[in-house]
Parts: sequence; structure tokens; C-alpha cells
Amino acid sequence: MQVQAITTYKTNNNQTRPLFKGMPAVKNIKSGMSTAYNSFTDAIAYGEGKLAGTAWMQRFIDFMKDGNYQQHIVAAVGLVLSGFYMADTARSKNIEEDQKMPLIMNQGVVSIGSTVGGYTLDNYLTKKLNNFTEVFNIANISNSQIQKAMVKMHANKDNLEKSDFEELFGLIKNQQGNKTYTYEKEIKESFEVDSSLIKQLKKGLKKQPQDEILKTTIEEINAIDPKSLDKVTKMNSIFLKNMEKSPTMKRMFSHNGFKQSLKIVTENQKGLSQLMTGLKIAKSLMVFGLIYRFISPVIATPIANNLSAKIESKKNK
Amino acid sequence: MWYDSKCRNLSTFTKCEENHPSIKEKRMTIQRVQLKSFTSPEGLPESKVDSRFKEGKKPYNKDGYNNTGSQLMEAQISKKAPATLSKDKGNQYINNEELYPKSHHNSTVIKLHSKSNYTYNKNLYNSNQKTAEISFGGLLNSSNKVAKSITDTRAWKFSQNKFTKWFVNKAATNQAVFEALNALVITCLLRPAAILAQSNDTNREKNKKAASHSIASGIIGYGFAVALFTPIAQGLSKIKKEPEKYAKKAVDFFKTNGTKKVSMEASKKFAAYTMICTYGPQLFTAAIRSGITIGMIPIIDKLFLNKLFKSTKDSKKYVPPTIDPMYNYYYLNFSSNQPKKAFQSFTGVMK
Repeated sequence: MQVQAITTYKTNNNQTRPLFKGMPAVKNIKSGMSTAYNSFTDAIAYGEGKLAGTAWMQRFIDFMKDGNYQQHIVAAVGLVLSGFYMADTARSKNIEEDQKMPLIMNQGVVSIGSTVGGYTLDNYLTKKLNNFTEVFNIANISNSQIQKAMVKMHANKDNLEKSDFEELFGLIKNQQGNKTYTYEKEIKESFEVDSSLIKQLKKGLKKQPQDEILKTTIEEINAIDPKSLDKVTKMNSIFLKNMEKSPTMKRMFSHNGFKQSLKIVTENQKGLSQLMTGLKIAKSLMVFGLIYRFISPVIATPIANNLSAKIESKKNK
Repeated sequence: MWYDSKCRNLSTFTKCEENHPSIKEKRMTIQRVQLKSFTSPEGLPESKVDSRFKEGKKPYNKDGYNNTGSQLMEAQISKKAPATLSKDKGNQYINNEELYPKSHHNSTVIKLHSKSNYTYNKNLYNSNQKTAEISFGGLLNSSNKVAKSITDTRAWKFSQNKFTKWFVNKAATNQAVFEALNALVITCLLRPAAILAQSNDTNREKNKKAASHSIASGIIGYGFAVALFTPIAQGLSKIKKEPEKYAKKAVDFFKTNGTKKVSMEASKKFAAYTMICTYGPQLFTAAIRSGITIGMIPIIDKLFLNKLFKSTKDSKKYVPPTIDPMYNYYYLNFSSNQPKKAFQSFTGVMK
């Protein structure tokens, strides 16, 4: 007797009839694998979405998003991995116990030195490649009209005026809605006096000690209470007051305006923000990778080994 | 060349060489060139004058000397030669020694007026043409430098290249695979080169093994990273396209940037989250990866690396050196019974 499992349905007259459903067509092994991979990645996406919904992950992201988070992540992972290697040497049976401690010290010193070297090299390169990042940003703008406007503004970066910004904002439209950008909102109100700007003011004073306007601005900024809540607004008002008299402060304001306008353009262009984050991450990853995998094993470890061997020989004598 | 057929003999060759016009050019010194180059009192014709220099400007400094190209050009264009030029007023010839910088010549030069000089051959008489052009780098202290626009630079073309865009996008989407790519290049090219460069005849076998070890670790690391971390990156790209489907609770969190609302591409928070998701698991996979590399190295050595480096011995496991128990009973012992130091086998932190 044959038993077959068949799906059925009941008609209006209470009769059972077989129900034929079409199976999804799997023509090849490839299509089957692709569907399986698709479902696998779907599951991973759901898991990652859940992870991002937790409170502790959101707090961690808020902590890391500003600044160079890629440096800190790479350095942390490197230090943890070197810690694992140090633990392995401590637990190993092939090495004598007298030699374990110097080996562990070697590994620790080399790892710390490589992280410090990576940080310094990366921060040095960001300063040197500032111009290249702007060129990279402008070259990958898809809209040709906006690109031409930005090329003009980059050539005239020191002496930008209100008309230049308004020309640009007339060409941009927000992706979400018909939002318009204005000079007063985006550039004047968003201007903030940071510690970097104060450093630039002091540098300008050193180059031109005769400039009295810079002196007065720095004195007024230093006179503000650091604990007051209106500190930032006061500093901004002081800067904007004295800006019209000094060309150095005008130049700083125009530079800041150029950067702000570039940010607005990148937010509204497709794929450009991803390129800029990728550039920042690529540079730091290449620097740290070079140091961890080439410079430290080829140059630093032989020096460290020779030094520790010499120290041991002196101790034994 | 024309003199090959005619001037085969040495005696005739030298004569032919002297008389060839292309060789005559090279022998013309600046003195002879300046003899035939001059400024007429009428000045250049208006078609050759640049509009910037038509306005009245003083071409000379207070001292009477000028060192810039623009001022030289203005002197050439000026219809009246000033009185400071000619020291001998009675002389019908103008002494243009002071027009040109003194570094060009050391002797006095006499210039002649002639209208036929407008039909000079540009290839022979170069000094006049040099001063007439604006964009050149020949004279010293020339301030007329035309600013290059960004679109002509190398950085512009480099940034629009397809490979750079692919490379940079890889760093933005999948950081673990990007790092493995860099490690591939370093471990397969740079590190073996450095190791083999330090090799002597005694260390050659050891260094070959070390080079093969680095290449194998690079390849295995790349394969491991691609296999593990591409699904994770695919999941993140799906969240980017349809965040409301996969991450309901985190949509508003990702799209806000302070007070503004931003798309998923431009959100800094999502970029930081991608790095945490793709690079963070390396903490947990490091032990497994090292075990796999140690296990796979002899296989890769057998397949093709032994042929590359032409090494005959197989890679062995670490065997600790033995201590001789009869050492204390020998009549004479000069060497130590301690095993070798462990530093010689220490190759680095990151493997």
C-alpha cells in the first residue's frame, strides 16, 4: 500500500480534491546557493539591527563617532592581541621560565611603541594631505555645475564673500525636501570658535606682532570665565565683531565657510560621503598595518632582542 | 642625415659640421643673439602687445635697473626709451645693457635699429621671444606665474580613477578585508624581500622558511577574512538600503546628526557602526586564525612555495634542545649545557 502526502482542499460539496502548488524553481546549484546566501545575510542583517537597537551600543557609538575612531579601534585591537601573545608565552612549556619575563617585556614594549608610532604618523599625514582631501572631494562631485562652483571657490578660498555662497546654495537642493540653504544660517550661525581657531590666532600673532586687533581678541577671549554657559556665544560674537578690521581673521572665516559648504555638498551628493569616510579610514589602516606588519618585526624586534640579550649577559656576569 | 652621404672623410666632415645651420645655432652666443635682437623706438606692433601692458606703467625702479620679465616686456613695448638708458646722449645707438640682467653677459653690447628685425627667425633668435612671453620660467625673479587650476593637477586624475574609488569604497564598507589586502601586499612582497636581503650563506635556509611563512600567513589571512567578514558587510549594506525593515529601533538614531536629519549614507554613526561590526570580531577570531595558519603552512609549502624558493626541507615543528645528563661527568667541559636562547626564534608581535 502506498501512502502519499498530498495537500488537499475541500469543495463546496465536501469533497476532497488534491491541491497542486508550484515549488520555487531551482535550476542550478548556483541559484540555490545564492538564495541560501541571501537568507543567511538576511539573518545577519536582522541580528545587526537588533544589536544597534540596544542602549549600550548606541552609547558606545555616540562616544566614538566624533574624531578619529578608526585609530582607537585599531590600536585597541592590536594591544589586546599582543596581550594574548604575551599570555601565550607565559603559559608555554617550551620556553624556560628565566627567559619568559624578558620576552614578555619585549612584546609589550614593541606593541606600545608601534601604536605610538602609528598615532604620530597618522596625525602627521592628515595635516600634510589636507589639500589632497579637498581636491578628492571636489573631483568626485557628480553634478558638473556644482563642481565648477566649488573649483572657483577653492581657487578663491581666502577671500570668499556672501555672493559666492549664495550662488552655490542656489544650485543645491536637499534630498528630503525642498529645503533651501542661506548664508546667515549655514555659515554665520554655524561658525564656532574652537581650540584650533584660537591656536591659529596665536600663530598669527607670532608672525605679525604688530597687529593689535588680534591681541585684543585673544585678550577678550581669555577674559571669559571658562565655566560660564554662554562661553561659546560670547567668543563667536567677539570674533565676528573684530573680523572686519583684520584680514587674517577674514581669511579664517572664509576657510571655515568653504569647509562648511563642502560638507553640505557632500551630504547631498550620492556616494560622496562614503568615499570621504573611506579615504580617512584607508589612510589610517594602511599606516597602522605597515607599522604592525613590516616595521616592527623587521626593524624593532631585532633591536629589542639584541638589547635584552646584552642586558642578560651583563646580569649573569 | 645630409652629411652622411657627402662627408665621409674626417676632413670634409668637420667642414660640413661647421657649416650646418642647426649646429651654427648652438654656437651662437648670447652676444651674437643680442646683436640681432633689439628694441626699436617704434615698439612692437599692437597686435603683439598684451592688453595688460598697454596702460602706462613705469618699467624701471628708482635705481634705474629692472630684473623682472614684465618690466622688460614693458621696456620693449615702450615707445620712448627713457633717458636713463643711454649714457651717451649723443650716441645714435642705444645701449641696451641695462635692460637685461647683468648675469646674462659680461661685456658691453651695441644694438642697432632696423625694421627688418620683425621678420626674425624665431628658432635662431630666442632671447627676444623669451621676454615677449609671459608664461615661462627662464629668467630669474619672474613674478608672472600663472596659477594652475585644480583640474590640471595629478591629484585630480588620481582621485577620478576607478581603482582608487574601488579601493576607497572597500575601506568604507569592509575594513577587515581591506586590512587583509594591505597585509597581503606587505607579507607577500615587502617582508620576504627584507628577509632575503638580510640573508647570508649560513642563514639562507632559515630565511627562506621565514619568507614562506610570511607569504602563507598573508594568503591564509586574506582568505579567512573574505570568508568570514563578507557576509557581515553584506548584512550592513542591506541595512543601509532598507533600514526600516532590518533595524526598526535604530533608524531614528542613525539618521539624526545633532539637530539635523541626514540620510544613511552620510550618517557618521552608521560609519562608526560598520567599523565596530567588521573589525571588532577580529578579537575573537585571532586564536583560530593563528591555529589555521600553523596548520596550513606545510600544505602551502608543498604545493608551490618550495618550488619558488627552491628549498628541499619540510617545515618542522619546534623541537626544544636537549640537555646532556652526562655533562657534569666529562673530564673537560668548555661549552655550556644550557639550551639556546629563545630570542632567536621570536619573529614579531603580529603574525
